[in-house]
Amino acid sequence: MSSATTPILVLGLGNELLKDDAVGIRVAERLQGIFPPEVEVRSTSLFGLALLDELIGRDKVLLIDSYIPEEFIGSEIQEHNLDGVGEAQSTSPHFVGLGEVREIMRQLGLGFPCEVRILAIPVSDPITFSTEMTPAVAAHVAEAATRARRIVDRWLAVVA
Amino acid sequence: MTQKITIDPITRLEGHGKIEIFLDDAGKVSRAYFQVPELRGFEQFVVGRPAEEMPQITSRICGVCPTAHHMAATKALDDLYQVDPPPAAKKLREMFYNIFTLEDHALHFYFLGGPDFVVGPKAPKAERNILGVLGKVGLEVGKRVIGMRRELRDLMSYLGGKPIHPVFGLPGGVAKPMAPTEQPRFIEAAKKGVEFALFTLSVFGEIVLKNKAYVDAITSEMYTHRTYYMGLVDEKNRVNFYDGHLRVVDPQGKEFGSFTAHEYLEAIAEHVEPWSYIKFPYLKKVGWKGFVDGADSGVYSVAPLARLNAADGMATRRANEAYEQLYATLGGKPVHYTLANHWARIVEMIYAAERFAELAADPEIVDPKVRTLPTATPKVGMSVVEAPRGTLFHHYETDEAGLITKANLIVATQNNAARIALSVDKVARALINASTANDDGLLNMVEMAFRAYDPCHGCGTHSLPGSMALKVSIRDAAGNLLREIRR
Repeated sequence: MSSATTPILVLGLGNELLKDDAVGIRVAERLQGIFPPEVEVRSTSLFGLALLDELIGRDKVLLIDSYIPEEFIGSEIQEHNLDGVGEAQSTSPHFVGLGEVREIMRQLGLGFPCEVRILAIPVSDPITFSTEMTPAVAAHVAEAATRARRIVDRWLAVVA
Repeated sequence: MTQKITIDPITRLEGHGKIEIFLDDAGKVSRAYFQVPELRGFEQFVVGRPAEEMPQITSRICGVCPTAHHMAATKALDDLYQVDPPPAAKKLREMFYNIFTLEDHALHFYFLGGPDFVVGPKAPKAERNILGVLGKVGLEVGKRVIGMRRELRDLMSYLGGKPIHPVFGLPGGVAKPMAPTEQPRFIEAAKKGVEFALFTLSVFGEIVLKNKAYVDAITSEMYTHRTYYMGLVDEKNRVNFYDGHLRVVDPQGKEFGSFTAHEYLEAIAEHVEPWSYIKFPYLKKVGWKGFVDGADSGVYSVAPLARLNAADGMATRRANEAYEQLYATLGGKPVHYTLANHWARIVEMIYAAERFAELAADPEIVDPKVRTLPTATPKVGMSVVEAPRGTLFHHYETDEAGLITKANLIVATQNNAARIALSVDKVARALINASTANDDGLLNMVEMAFRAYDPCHGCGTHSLPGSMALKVSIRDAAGNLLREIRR
């Protein structure tokens, strides 16, 4: 749960048992212990409306997640903010998107973070049971961690 | 004439659920298919792993109802090791499970069923979502739902370490007892839960039952299937989410049979279709007769409406009153209206909250003895629970060291797969044709048919931008794509 002393959250999203779907969690593991106390690094398998619990009380949030590209070969890590993410995309609370979470939190006065960035890593197979990622996906972990660190360092520089 | 279309199930669904609607030469629906992607390799993955890992492994299969898998796996381990948990452990488990069901059902009604009824099935697309519901019921209600949900999850975190993927169930008991100092907090939360569940019933009454168009939709033939119904009941044939025996009633509501978890393979078989990864369970004694309903078809249904149909009542007072009201309003038992699942879900909310209250106040629940250590050599373990979405079976076989040699799960959405397929097909045939293929409201009514079951795609993937993984395709007689909608 959120803490007043951890205004910045780095959250790895994924499922460790579904092959490439673990990548967000693996990147978060790489980032453990390298930031000052005002940054909290966590992993979760939550999604949809359940993400709301993670976002409440945070100033800035970096989500590390996977995406399924049209063609895996040649696909790259992407960085997004919430611009262009629509408000109402889903019809199920299990799959509520960030746009909806943002709007729900705003309407209910729950304090959506002032900045959310998403680091999205391309994956090949997120639906086969395995604790081993596709090698090409695993190879993205180091770069994703570096990029995540750059984002958080930028936020910390602003705070300082 | 419709040209023969081959739907290749090998095509990667990319974590999406899919509805494929095929039109004939006259532009009418010849067939609609609902396809659910199935996660691959589960059985291979678990072979060789310690069975005691299964509550943790299976709770990670699905990000929607992990607690259901956790509980089913825990009970399967009790059976595997032939160990009986102490009374306090059973009560803690049942309470934990009812807290989970209450939270899950509340979320579903306000944020899933809500857009269909609170806002209206033909409301503009921009309003037919969670935000539209908040606009109709008011922000204070929205805050109440979110607040109650968080409180319930905090209680689950106390018992299990975290609400999702709890470290709670163990073979022979649970991981930790409830401290007596915590009991008042649980009692207070349960009281609020009962109040909220009853409030939800009043919201349903005000917004849905007083709206003739909604009631007409609920009772329309388009959303009606006359199938068998199955649910877990106690010794008095009352709904129980945690334990009991399975009871099946026929389309006339008469008891067709009952069986225990150990007997599920004698009661249920699975039919395979070339166009779907998911298998379609059916009642063995009746047999597979195709995607048809009626007493001669082995298709059955699970989940809230089925549970109420299969039972003789609810075990708590206010829930039973709500149960009686539902059947009195809808013409007696059994009710065959698929959309009545939303109402049945509220009845179950009331039961979950009342049962939570009973257990929270039970002096025995704070007994520190919460584990019986297993001593038997493991071989086979089977269990059943009622997930919010329906009956869930877990079945493990191990070697003498307790390493899995075989595992089989029949999840809730699988149990409903045939009826969901029937529902989607029937509504599509009634509403969709070449000239209405672009009508978003009508397409939404097709989706309503399966949303009532709250199906779990079970993939739990996290593909950006986090939208619901569903694709609806409408094709002409030659298979050419006329329209595709992704949600």
